[in-house]
Amino acid sequence: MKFRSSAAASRPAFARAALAGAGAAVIFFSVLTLAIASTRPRYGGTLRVELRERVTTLDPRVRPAEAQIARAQEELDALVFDRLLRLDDQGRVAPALAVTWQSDGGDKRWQFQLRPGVQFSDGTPLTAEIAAAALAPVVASEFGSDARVSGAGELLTIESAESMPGLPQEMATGRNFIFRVAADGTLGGTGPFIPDHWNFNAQPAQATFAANARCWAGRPFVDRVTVTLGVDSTRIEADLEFGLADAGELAPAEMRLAAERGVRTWSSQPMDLFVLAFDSERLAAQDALLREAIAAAIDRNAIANVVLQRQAIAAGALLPDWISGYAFLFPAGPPSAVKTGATAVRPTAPLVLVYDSQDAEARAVAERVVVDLRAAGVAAEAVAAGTQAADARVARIPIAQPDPSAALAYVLAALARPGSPVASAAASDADPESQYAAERAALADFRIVPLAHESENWGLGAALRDWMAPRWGDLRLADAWLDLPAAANTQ
Amino acid sequence: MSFRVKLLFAFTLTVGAAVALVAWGVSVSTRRAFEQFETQRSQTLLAQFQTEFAQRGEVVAQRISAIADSEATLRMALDLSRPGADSSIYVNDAQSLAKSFDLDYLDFATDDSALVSSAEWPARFGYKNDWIASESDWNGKGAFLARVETADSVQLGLLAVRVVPVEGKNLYVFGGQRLDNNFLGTLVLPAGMRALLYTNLDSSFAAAALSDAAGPVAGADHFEALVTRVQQENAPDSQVIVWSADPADREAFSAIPLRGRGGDLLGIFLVGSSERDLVTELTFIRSLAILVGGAGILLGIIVSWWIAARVTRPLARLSRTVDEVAAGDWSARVDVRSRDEVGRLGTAFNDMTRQLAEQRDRLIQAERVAAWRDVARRLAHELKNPLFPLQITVENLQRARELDAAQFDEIFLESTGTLRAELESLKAIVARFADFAKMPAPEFESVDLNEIARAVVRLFEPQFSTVGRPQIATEFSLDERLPRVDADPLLLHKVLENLIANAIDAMPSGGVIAVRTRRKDENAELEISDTGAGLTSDERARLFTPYSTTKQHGTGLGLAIVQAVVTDHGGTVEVDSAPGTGTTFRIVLPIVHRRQPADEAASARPETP
Repeated sequence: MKFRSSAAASRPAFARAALAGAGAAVIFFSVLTLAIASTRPRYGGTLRVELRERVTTLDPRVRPAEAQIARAQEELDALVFDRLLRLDDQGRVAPALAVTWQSDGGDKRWQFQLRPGVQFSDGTPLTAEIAAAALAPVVASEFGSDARVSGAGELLTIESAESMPGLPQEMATGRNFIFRVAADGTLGGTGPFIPDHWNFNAQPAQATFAANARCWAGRPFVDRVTVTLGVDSTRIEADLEFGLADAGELAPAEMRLAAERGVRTWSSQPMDLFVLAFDSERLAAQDALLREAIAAAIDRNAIANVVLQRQAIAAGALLPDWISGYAFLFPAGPPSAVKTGATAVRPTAPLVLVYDSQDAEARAVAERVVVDLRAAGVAAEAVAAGTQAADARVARIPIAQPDPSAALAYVLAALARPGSPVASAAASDADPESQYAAERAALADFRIVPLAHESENWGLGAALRDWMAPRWGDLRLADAWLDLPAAANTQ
Repeated sequence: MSFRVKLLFAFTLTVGAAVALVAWGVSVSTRRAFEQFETQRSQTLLAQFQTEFAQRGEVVAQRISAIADSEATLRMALDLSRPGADSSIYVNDAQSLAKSFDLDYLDFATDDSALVSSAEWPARFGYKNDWIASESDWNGKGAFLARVETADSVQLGLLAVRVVPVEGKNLYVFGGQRLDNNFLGTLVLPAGMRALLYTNLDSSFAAAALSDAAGPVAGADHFEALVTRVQQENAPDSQVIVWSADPADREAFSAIPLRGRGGDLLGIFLVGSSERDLVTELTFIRSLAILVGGAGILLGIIVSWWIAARVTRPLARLSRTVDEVAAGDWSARVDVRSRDEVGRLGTAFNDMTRQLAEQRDRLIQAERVAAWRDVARRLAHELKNPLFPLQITVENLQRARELDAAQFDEIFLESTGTLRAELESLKAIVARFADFAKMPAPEFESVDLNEIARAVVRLFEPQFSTVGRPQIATEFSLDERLPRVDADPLLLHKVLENLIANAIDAMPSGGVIAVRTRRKDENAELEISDTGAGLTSDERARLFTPYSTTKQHGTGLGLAIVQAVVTDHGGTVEVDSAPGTGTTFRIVLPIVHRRQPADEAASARPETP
């Protein structure tokens, strides 16, 4: 019998072990490299977005009457234009085109230091004069005609006889975009994308945006963004399911279906407020007993859970709890009869509730309110706004302000009560107790009946990466990229 | 109106009445036939509706059963049978399923009858439909009519209910189709008919609830009475709807009640049939009847005329013959060509005429003999008076021949004088007869009747005051405005002479002769009155008969001459007289003479007999 020495025997074993270890290391690093490579953002590709609303213009100076379309237009405008400031994920005011801002003691004069080196998409440098020209109409409409905007060099000044404590919040949201009007009348922005071509009259309407290489925040990853407008929610879900879209806005009813079919979904915090507003001068709307009876008769949980398919929460307050922190103090329980009894205040003619004809959820909410009112013995009917005189309206108010004071002021302003003492108090006082009192006062006469806060719902395609949740009214597509094969990315 | 025209009128009336009767009969029978036909059509359409209704109900029941039996429904039932199940995820299921199964209504309800999902009223989830729990064996029942409440309205629907039992809990599936004008559109309607549906969702009549296949019915208020009756009686009814004054616009409607599960009236199905065809047909028949009737009446007139002519011809001949006989042609005879009543009448007439002619001839012969005898007697009487003196005178002459010459001469002269006088008398008698025989035709000229009357009276004035005779006075009452008269003055003179002479003779004891003239219409009237003894009735009857006289020495020709002359002038002569009252002769002459056949006859009269 022939035996090998142990040393001789141990060398090949060691070598085999070393080879195996080296191989394993190679495989490990290869896999690690591939893994890192697969998660690293890629440039290129066309991001396909589908929206339910049919936007008709990108001009930020034009504000559509329908809230949903106005919000969609604002989302698209945010791709092209920047504001002086922005809200971060926590809702705090952060620098954008302005790097610093300061006010005098009474918040009557604000100065913004513009970011240096910013250029519009056509190469024109951003100046305070251009920014002042863009902001002047908006500032005048929001802070009064005595508010003035002026610019010199990189310093932009906004002045008013009245105190403007919420100005930075205002400059970070809404239509306060900075744009430049070219000689041919076209608008230029400093945002991550440039409008390439659009046809709002086509069916479906479509707008294409190209990446802005001059963007001060850096070039977006995707080459283009194609936004298809006015698409039915069911179609959006199907397009997402079959890879025909990368991102799409979904109705609450489609969220469950999309999830069942493997489509990634994303929902925001409850933001959109559905409210029943008695802002009519008609006799029924002036009856406080009737308004109280109506407020008590509405089953808000049914609206949130069934009509809005659990993509909303029943609302007893104007602001959701995650913004105000005190919404739980406003009950949104099951319907109940008020002490006076609905029969005592039953109107002779049916109450007319109107809703935005472009807003399917608002319509569904209005129809459910009608059912509840009829069950309470109050004849009512829901019709599209503009068709006939209304006693009340079911309105959707997107709350684009994380600040409770600003949000409440925004909501009350949207409900056409900006001049009321309640609105003024809400806008000027950030104290939570005062804020609560202001909201309580706003709801005391039942002219405003909160119904539900609905989340914003999106479906995401399989190739979409680094989806930045839309927040505070902006579509944040600059950081998104598409995980597509190379050939596909070149298109 | 002649007999022929009367006969024609009677025939025409008979034909017209017959045609009208036939037209009326045809019109009535046509109307009845049409009404029967329309009734049959309505019944057929009602039957079609009921068949369609039943078939639609079967389809609804089948579709609801299919949904209830589907896997998705079973999963829903299983899910909802769990405690704390989330029913919100099914809230939109009914809408998609209703669309897939072509249903207008579809609802899912849990065991406690709370709605899970509703296609027709999605927002009504959570509310209860208690009526579905009232029945235990829904699966064995067919579709039924029910009122369905939606967000916008209350509608009429054909519903079926099915139950899916799982784990001791029921899931109710119920739904159906709307019963509206679209359902009416599936009915095959004959021309001129239409189907209406009244959805009886209010206690009172609502015009907007009435619709046809095209939608709401215009003028729905016209149906209020019919609908109200059906609502009250809950039984079929009918009514003719009058849309305008034009009968062709009328529609006959039959209505049947549509009842729900509990027998409550939920709808009314109405079938209308336009009467335009009927009216058009009746108008055509009426026009045809008028045309045929007119042609028939015209033909009837022609035929009636021919028949009437044929029937009345013998009578016309008889009439003409009667006229000929009446005109004096006693030889006229009716041409008898038939043996019927008219023929026998003609034969009888001919016999009668023949007998009358024979009797007349015999009478004329007898009168002629009597006249000749009368003339002979008168002549003998007239001639006898002069002849006797002649005979005596001649005998005296013969005896005087024996006397001496002087005496003879004296007697001769006296006898010849007597002879001459008597011969003159004979001659005068003969002349008067000759005058009457040769009465001339009058030669008319314009004469003054008053002047002639005065002249004649003046001629007789010497006789009024003859010595030894009582006086006769004259009175004139002459109309000086009397126009001149067409007359023969000589003949008129002779007439007045005769009348004045007669008046003188009638008053041997004297008296008054009155002469009067005056105008009466287109005639001139002349009266000669005396105050004599007057005439008896027999005397008045024979007054104008020739040779008839009441006087001892008259010829009886004077008044005959008067009558002949007056008649030849186209006038008349009358006499008013009674014993003791005098006599008045009244002559009436036309102022303007019109030549008449009698003149021709007078002018043609021979001057000698």
